[in-house]
Amino acid sequence: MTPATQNRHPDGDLPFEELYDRYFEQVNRYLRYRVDTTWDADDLTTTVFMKALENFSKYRAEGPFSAWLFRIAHNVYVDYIRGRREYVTNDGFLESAVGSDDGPEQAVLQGEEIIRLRKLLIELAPDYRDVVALRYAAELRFAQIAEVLGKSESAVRMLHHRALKQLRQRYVCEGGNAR
Amino acid sequence: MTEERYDNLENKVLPIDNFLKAKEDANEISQLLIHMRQVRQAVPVNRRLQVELRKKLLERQRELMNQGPAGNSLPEVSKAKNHLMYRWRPRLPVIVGALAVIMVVFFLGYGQFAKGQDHLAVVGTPQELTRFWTEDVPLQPAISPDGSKIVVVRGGGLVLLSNTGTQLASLEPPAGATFRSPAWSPNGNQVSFVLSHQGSEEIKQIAAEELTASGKINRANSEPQTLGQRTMASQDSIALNETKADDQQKDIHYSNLVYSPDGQNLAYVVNKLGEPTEIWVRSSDGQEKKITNGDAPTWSPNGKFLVVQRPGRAKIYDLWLVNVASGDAEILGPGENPVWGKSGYLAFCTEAIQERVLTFQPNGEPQYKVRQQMAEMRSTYLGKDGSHMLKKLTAGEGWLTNSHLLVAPENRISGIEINWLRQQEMSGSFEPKTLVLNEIFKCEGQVFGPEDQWLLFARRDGDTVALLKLNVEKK
Repeated sequence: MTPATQNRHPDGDLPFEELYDRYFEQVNRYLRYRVDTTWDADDLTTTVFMKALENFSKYRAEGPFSAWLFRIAHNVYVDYIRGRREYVTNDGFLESAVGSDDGPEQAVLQGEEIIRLRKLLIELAPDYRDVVALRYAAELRFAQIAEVLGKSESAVRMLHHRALKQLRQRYVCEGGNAR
Repeated sequence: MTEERYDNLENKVLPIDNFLKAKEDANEISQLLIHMRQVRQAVPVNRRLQVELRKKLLERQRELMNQGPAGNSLPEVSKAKNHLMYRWRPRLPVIVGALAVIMVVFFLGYGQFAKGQDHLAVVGTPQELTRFWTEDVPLQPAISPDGSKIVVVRGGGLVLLSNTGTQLASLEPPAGATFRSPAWSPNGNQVSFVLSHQGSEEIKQIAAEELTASGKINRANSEPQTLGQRTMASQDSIALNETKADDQQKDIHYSNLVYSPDGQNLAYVVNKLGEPTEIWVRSSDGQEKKITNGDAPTWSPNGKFLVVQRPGRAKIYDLWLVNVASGDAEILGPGENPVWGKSGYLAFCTEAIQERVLTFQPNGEPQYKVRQQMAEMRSTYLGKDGSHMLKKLTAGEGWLTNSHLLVAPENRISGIEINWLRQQEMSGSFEPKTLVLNEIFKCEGQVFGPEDQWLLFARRDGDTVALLKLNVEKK
């Protein structure tokens, strides 16, 4: 009755609004993790989903929707960074952290941790930064990161290994409370 | 990678001091990764944006649909066509306007024709009516046609509830017997159920008045604990009309009774030991007929079709549309526990295995994972006989594409996972492992209320099972 769907990813059978419900949190969190003002991160989130909707017919379900969506998210982020080089960055995260579900004090502490971690990420080489953010902020698998960045999976693994090594050294020097 | 089932684990909480010491000895990179994940979880999500953007996207989606595919792919224009265009240019706005009106009328008309209603939308969140202790028997509620009463089976007896969850009455079976699978007739006069007694089973009927009156009789009783309770001491003490009695046939079990919308036929499942389950239909003149193999039948609004579930690939069920007269069956797609409402909507459950990574190895690969089967409830429009859906499926449209989410799976990290993590760290073994947990939110007992304005379903939650009411509206 229904055509054979062995090579087709199950995400291809889902309507756009449901994919949005599934991935909004992941994308919004990823961009808020990487971008230092919540306003910009939320604007970028809107842009990502608008672009995804406009190009939804191009998603062929050859892989998970998340990899396809994060390729858009990554491109949107890169465009944003390129356009912002001349501007001074602001710390909007303390403000956003206060708005979270925890108490004000805990929220501020969390905000500081995010800022500290982002500062360390910014000091990494761009390739390292992308891999770490996509791995731990977007929770993508190596194969998906490779697809997003247009690199081989082994190259991504190598970048990831080196990035973590650098990050650990710097984090220890900074006195981060890696618990 | 090894797997451990929760059932095989000792569910003990380990001393926190040992756990903390184990953490101190752990690899620094692992700690960093854990910390990074903690930081990630602390990043707040803009829920208001989530809601607002969803609306905006739906509007944009409608605009794109109205524009149609022609807007994106204009063919190359030849010189001759250019010439024609030049000739028609003065009248172009009029032509384009007329075409746009025709397109809008066509899409609106076709939308109504093809779908009847767009989809079934959830109104608010599920409201818990009441809660029972979990039993092996699923909580299969039956709703009276006017929607004012609900019958469920608990402890082998029938329990009558109001539509707000208040217990009105209960009917206990004879000693050593149990009741199961109640079904309320569409005219509201009778409740059918399975009576299981000493290995043999029968389908019985009771006048609805008897069931509802059982509570009224006992309300006069001053004993609070027996309020609303009545024991069926023998089969003769209550006017039971036996519709199927075959005491000699042991190892045959009946379940999932469901009346056709006109009340003339009763479908039920026959389960013979070691054989596939069968769907039978008993007509009002007493004739019984096997329709097909399968389980969990539900009638089409016109009473000519059934949707049933059958085992599919990889331990999941598929839904099939079955012609009651001929027994011909056509596959719809994955799903289980279907319920077909009078207005043509089908609610059903789908299951997927979800894996969550709890901790990572130093190289970034997952170390400890949890695998769990999650169920969600969806709805789709089948119409009066399912023919539109079959056309869509034949045209290559996906089954799930044509459905909408009603109830999402719950995603909670339990104490079981935390204890398991502690045990792993205490054991000193850091090889990758996967914890396989029991299924959560096992779908059971969904049934539509009158006019399909609400849906009743049960949700298991540890040792208890909740009866929930979900308001829905057609959009």
